[in-house]
Amino acid sequence: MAILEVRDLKKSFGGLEVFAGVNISIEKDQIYGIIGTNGAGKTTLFNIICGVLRADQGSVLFNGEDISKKPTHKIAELGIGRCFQTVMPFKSMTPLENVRVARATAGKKNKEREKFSIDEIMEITNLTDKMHIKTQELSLPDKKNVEIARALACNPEIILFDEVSCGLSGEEIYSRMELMKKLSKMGITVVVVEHIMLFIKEICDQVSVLHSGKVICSGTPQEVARDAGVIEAYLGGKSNENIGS
Amino acid sequence: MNLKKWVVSGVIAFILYMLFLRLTDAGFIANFIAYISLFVIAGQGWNLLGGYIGEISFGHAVFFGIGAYTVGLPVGYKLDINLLLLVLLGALMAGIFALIISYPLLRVQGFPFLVGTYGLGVVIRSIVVVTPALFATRGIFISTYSKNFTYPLIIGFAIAVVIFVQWLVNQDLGLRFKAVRDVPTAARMIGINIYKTKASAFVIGAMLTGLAGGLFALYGGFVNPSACFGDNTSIFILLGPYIGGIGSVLGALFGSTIVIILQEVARSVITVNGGHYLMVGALLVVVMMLSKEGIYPGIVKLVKKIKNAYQKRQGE
Ligand SMILES: Nc1ncnc2c1ncn2[C@@H]1O[C@H](COP(=O)(O)OP(=O)(O)OP(=O)(O)O)[C@@H](O)[C@H]1O
Ligand SMILES: [Mg+2]
Repeated sequence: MAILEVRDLKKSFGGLEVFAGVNISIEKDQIYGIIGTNGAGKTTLFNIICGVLRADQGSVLFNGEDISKKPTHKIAELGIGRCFQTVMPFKSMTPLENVRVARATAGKKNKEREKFSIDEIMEITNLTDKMHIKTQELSLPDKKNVEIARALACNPEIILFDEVSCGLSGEEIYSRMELMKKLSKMGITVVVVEHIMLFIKEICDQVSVLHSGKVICSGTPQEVARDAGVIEAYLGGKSNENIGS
Repeated sequence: MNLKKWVVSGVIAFILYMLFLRLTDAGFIANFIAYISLFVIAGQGWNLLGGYIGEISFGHAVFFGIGAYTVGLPVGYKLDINLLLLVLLGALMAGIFALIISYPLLRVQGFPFLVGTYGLGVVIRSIVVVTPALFATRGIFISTYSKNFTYPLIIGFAIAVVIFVQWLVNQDLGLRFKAVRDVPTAARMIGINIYKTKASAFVIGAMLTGLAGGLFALYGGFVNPSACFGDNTSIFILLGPYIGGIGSVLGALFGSTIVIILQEVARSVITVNGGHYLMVGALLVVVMMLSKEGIYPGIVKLVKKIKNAYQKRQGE
């Protein structure tokens, strides 16, 4: 059974139709990539899964249970974690406090799923020597790390990452990829939205491409890179050089 | 944790105060410190919601008044109940009232919340003023304990409340307050129920402000609608934390102290009726011009700046 499934999702903002019947099914322990051009609706999809926005139609199933009417904090308690595209750490707190409060809230509800201690979380997110500095004083990559650490502290079954590599250097991106792989190996399902194709190709088991309100293609990164529709959507059919390379 | 430091400082402050009471007979200053302490307690209560959650209430006199009248009313009806018990009951009543009123009030945020709390203050005061059973505008006299007992009591409570709030904001619940203030969406995403969290800050804060009201009744031996439920009371409760440095325990402590001292100094200098508000207003303008975040963060920044400049010089 899929851990997370989106069925026949429809959503419009006023006259703007973002989803015209989207279906996505994510298997447990996969690394699942979602790609699409700017404005394709990737962040909106995450917002609907998390209950921040409501779909006009369709449903979101988490472990078979319909969560599309649940409030966000309940969805978090069920085991869905998230990192935001625009970083949103709790800036007046230290990284340690960010993690502590997550551990004491959703993390407490999901104690039986606990995979990392607070010290381990600090270590894998490279925050050990910065954990007592106010988060607002940290660099952007570190703020992103704080978000990852906070999501991990919730003991989630699945984490949604919205462009975690955006604005990072090559080395930092590489360490992010390693981290994603590590989480997946430890039994946390990972969903990534990324613009960097190498990232997707390197780590994802499955990819879906959002375009004009639909999933125009799903499959392994290789399959997706060869798909004529995807090439058309991304490059107007000129070449497939950039996709999958 | 640095809570130990707070407790030690609190105990030292209390001992110094007691020594001061023993060695001098400066009744005026003792009286003054007790009065400041009342606003320190009430202000710390306001700060839990206003500073740590970020919802500005303009009606905290309601909770102050409930605390004061819980002490006053039984006395007015000649019931023989221990006054200290009534003070604690007053805090409880303020908390229960906050819990009830939180349901409609906390559904709105920002400016509507501010207006809502102001409206609540007006409604409750009006009810008290026109209800004979609540002694209307006449108020109630309370034959209270001697000042040798009430002053140390009030100061003891103020110290305990400051330490309690400092402790609370570093507990999981306090971190939840700050999470809701920093980024509500992210707070939800770690499983925080925003409404419940705000309501906790509101209720605990109201209990502290109610406690201050009850102690006020013991302190002055008199309660009436304008002193307990008045707009001025609301304003002085919020002005301390606001001027001192919103969302900081020490800031609120400084702020309440400065506001009350300034008010009293102005009252003795400016003899025109109500003229002393001029000073408080002027202070507000000056503080907001110099440091938007308030006095305490402003001073911290200034000290840092001087330190940095000094270190630079040393390095050269
Ligand atoms: N709350 C909202 N109200 C109105 N329009 C919205 C809202 N959220 C998103 N949109 C619009 O919906 C479309 C999809 O936005 P979304 O942020 O989901 O795209 P995205 O795929 O994440 O893009 P990007 O790659 O730039 O992050 C955009 O046209 C956006 O302007
Ligand atoms: Mg986006």
